[in-house]
Amino acid sequence: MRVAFSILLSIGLSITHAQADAEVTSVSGGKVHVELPASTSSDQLQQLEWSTNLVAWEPVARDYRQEWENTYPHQVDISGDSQTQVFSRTIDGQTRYFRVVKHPETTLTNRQAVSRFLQQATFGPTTGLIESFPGIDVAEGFNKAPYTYFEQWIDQQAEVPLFSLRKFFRERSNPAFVDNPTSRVPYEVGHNPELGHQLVYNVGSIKYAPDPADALAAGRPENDVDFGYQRGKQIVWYQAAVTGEDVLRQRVAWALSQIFVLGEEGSNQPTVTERFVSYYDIFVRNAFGNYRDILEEVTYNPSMGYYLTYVDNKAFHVQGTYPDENYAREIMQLFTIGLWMLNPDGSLILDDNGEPIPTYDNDDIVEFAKIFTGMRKRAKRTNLDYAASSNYIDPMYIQASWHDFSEKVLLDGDVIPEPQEKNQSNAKAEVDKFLDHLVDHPNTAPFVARILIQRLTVSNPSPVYIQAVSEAFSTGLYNGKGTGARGDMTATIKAVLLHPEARTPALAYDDSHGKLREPIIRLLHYARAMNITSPHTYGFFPFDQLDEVFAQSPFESPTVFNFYQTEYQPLGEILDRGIYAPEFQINTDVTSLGLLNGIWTLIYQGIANSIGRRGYSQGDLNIDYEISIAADAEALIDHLDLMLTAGRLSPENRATLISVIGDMPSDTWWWRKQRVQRALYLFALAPEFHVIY
Amino acid sequence: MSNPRKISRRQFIREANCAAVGTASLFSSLFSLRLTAGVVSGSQLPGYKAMVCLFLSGGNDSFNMLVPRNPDAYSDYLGVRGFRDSSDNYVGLALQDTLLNPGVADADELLPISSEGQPFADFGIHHKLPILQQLYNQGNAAFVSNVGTLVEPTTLAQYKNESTQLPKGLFSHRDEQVHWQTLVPQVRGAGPKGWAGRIADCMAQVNQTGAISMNVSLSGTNVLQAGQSTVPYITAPNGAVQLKDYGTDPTTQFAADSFLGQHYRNLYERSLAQGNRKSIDTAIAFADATNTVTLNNSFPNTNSGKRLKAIAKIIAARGNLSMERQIFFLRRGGWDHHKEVITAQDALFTELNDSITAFWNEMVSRGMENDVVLFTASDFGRTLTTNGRGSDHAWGGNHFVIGGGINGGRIYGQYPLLAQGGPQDVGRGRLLPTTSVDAYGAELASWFGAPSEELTTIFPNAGNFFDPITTPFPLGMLG
Repeated sequence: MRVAFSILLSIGLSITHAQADAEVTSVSGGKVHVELPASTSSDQLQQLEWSTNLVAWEPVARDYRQEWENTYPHQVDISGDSQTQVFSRTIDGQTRYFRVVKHPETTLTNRQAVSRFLQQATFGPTTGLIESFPGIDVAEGFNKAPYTYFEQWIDQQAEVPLFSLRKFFRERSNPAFVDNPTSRVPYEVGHNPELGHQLVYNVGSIKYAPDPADALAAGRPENDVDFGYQRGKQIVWYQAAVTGEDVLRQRVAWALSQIFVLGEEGSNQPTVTERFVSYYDIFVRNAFGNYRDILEEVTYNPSMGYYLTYVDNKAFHVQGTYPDENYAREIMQLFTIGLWMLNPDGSLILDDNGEPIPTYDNDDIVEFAKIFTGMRKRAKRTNLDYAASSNYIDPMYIQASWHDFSEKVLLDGDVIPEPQEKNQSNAKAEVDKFLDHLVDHPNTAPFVARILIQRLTVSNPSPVYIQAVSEAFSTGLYNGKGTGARGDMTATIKAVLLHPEARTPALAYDDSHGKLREPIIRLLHYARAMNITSPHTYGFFPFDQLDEVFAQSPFESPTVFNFYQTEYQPLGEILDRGIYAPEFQINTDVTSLGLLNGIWTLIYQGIANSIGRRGYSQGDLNIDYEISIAADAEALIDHLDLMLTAGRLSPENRATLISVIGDMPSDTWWWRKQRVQRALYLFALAPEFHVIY
Repeated sequence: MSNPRKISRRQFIREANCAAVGTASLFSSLFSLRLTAGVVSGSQLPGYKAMVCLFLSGGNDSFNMLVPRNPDAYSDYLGVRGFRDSSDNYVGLALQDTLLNPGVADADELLPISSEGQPFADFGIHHKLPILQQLYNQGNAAFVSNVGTLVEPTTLAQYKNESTQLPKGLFSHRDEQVHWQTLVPQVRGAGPKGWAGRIADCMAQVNQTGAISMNVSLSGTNVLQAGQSTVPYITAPNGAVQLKDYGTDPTTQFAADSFLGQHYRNLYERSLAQGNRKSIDTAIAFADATNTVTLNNSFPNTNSGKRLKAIAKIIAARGNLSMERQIFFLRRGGWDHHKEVITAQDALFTELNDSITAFWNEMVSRGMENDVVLFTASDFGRTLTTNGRGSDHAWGGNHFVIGGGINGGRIYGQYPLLAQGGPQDVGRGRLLPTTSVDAYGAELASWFGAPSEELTTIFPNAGNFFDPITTPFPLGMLG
């Protein structure tokens, strides 16, 4: 066994750093003032830390873009201009020591920066995406504010034709489907005979499954085309996630689907595909659109009407029963304003007793339940995938005789008056006014901002970061560009992905920066980065049972509260520090190892067994390139470091990997393949793969 | 009650460390036991005991689980819940009884039981829970009625005047689920951690050489079992997950050990590495201990059936695991019956009935029925009034407790008047609880062996409802 030796990389992740005791420069007005040193360079992190015992230090403020700011969750007073900034704190009778820690400058290569960006903005980087990235070979200034090349890429992504899940399903299911361009819901396209019948569809109570003869004709096992009737929507989703060219759009859609959650649990028809993929398309179509449109489409969607139990909700006068309160509560708590009044920077607004202020109370819910009355499914019709006699795809209409038209008092005291004419149009106007009310509520901007940040980039955004995203949402502009409409998604997404807090490598030195990545994204990362191919009869990627493996799977959120909560705090240091890590809520003794074993299965067995439905492979990683360089262990590890860990691999772990892989023979193709597979698996055992910062 | 003691949050946190290991957070379930073992002095507790918390998440409509069969009370029930006819488009929630509604009702949906100590004697259990009726009549099951989260005793007038402290976020799933688990409902969020976690913190020395945490979850992370130094062990119905190739390939083991042994600056990396280290090691010990166990009964392959089967197996393996006290947690979801109560409960109660039957039979076959208690918990009960065929979020609800060692065959707490405008109605038939979850929990904790002087640490608000020192069994159900 060769002795491993450590290498100090040129990106400068070394352990030593300069320390200086910060000077308490003055005491006045009952406060102690500490002068903060000026920054010298962006991409260099300085932290102000404090301690009560000179042993345990905690960061309180930081500077990485030539401006000092708080370190979440502290809210300290920083004043002054960009030349001299001062940190002030009320004297509380406790002795505190301060010091400033200045970390080494960090840089990433262009490709590392792009790989890292793609881990935030897509389901996983590919060599193709990296090599075609704008400015990829620019010599200087690639990864520097204002991150122009990254913005260019986002603009390009908005133009890429979108992968509609509904369209993908309809082209491959019922041969009787025809184009309906005047449909109320887009992408009601016709069957494509060249593709044939590939996915289960329903006509009333009869299911039509694809023909096993297709599999035999393709030289595949007979059951290759049998997914179990309820899996159609997942199959379509994996196709979009793995192969969709609109990679940013798909990742944003996935984030939105974790706000407006719709799960198959509790559905009356989990096997009917089109209603689920048509619902999911709301997020795909509006990922670069507007939040208000998303909220409206979701509200009138009959699948959501069933899921949150307000379809056929009746006003009290109809039969003496009270309107169902479910949607009134969840549309506020989960989709728009949340539970507590917020400042634009996401911090809680406190009352005179220092207590947070609720956004609504139970009386409001009882009141607003009356607004969501009279919504009914449209009549069933042909040209849709449906079971039984219901139409779960076309938007609901409002039956005026079941609607409560009484005057409604809104959250700010404004009133929706009782209309003269109790008709459908006035009922719709009332719902629309209420949706406007919620999106216009000042809370919605920081509430949505924080969730989107947590889904894409970091678990604990600073108030500065939340405020910037909040503003983009409110103004509809990013850097002066955009529709200018409140709720503009493009401006919001740009603010999330292009903020220095998301882009700079300097914050790698801030121990609470970054996040644990979602398990399904980590698994798909391997699939995409290693160019997964499908030997499947129809070219599908039939991952299966992922909820059993790591508690996350498309359309399988256990409740409307999503897989994890935004405020989850795992026991231990993260809880003690007072910060959040939602993805840890589903990271347990079972799921953490379940994911690692799932990655092992993907590498050695393909889409099969614990992550698939069959004992044979229905999807294989294409590692030809990796095998061709595997004789050089260092080259292989560096390549995987780029594709999987974006340069995060520590010197120690890198040395271990090179040593361990280098010890394996490489003289035959088979041994080189063993090297690649072993290296791929070992990368998954390194924490640097799972956490992004 | 004498000397109710209101505990402020700050005071609670100071007092929280029964095990007196300060605020250092030791979240390795393996290591915490060894560190606390030497610190706490306490007598060895006799024998073995296990508590099983069956959390019905979503809010069980439990006034259809335990229904009055006294004629006047049943008439109230019919009135407030709405009579159901036998048409397909019926409206209403009331369960039918041909004796009490002769000539009109055409089904019997209540299994008769009787109880002392309530305003009347005759009650009925939902007809899909025959095991409950059987165990109740044997004295091996009991109900606790109108129990819910409270900070301090509250009357209807006080609720309306807002003159007492109330749980934050009443009627909201997330808040109430968390409150049932922390029992500090005046503090929002999971910060106070869970009362089963606090029990385990206090009593960790009992399982000194135990291979796993006192607290075991079959339903992922939860607040109930999290303590200051207690981290629940999470396992799945199929048993512990072992890391592929770790045990068989030296290269993998070397690399994994090397990676997991590094110090990581990043907090998330560090937590992940420490967690994985623990998971890998505990799975090996756990598998060794449970693989030799064969159960005597077959269990239904349902959501709750699989989990109770796994729990039965772990209980059977308690000797191999060196465990003398265990707290289990399983969640059964799907109770948020806004839309449809009757058919949904029919299906869910049938499932629970069959799982609990298998579990009970297994415990009896091992002579352990007196050592194990299974109890239910839920976000809240539901509105007595209907929105058609469903009900909405409410507050007080009914729960059942099963075990050979309980004073069964009785309903504890005060069964409320089921009427709108009644003394507990805060609106729409949402009932103000008359028994606190603190009393319910303290009863269980005392049976489990928690010393009465630790009860206010485990249940910070308990002193608002009863004196934990003199009455550690405030209901009289388990002691």
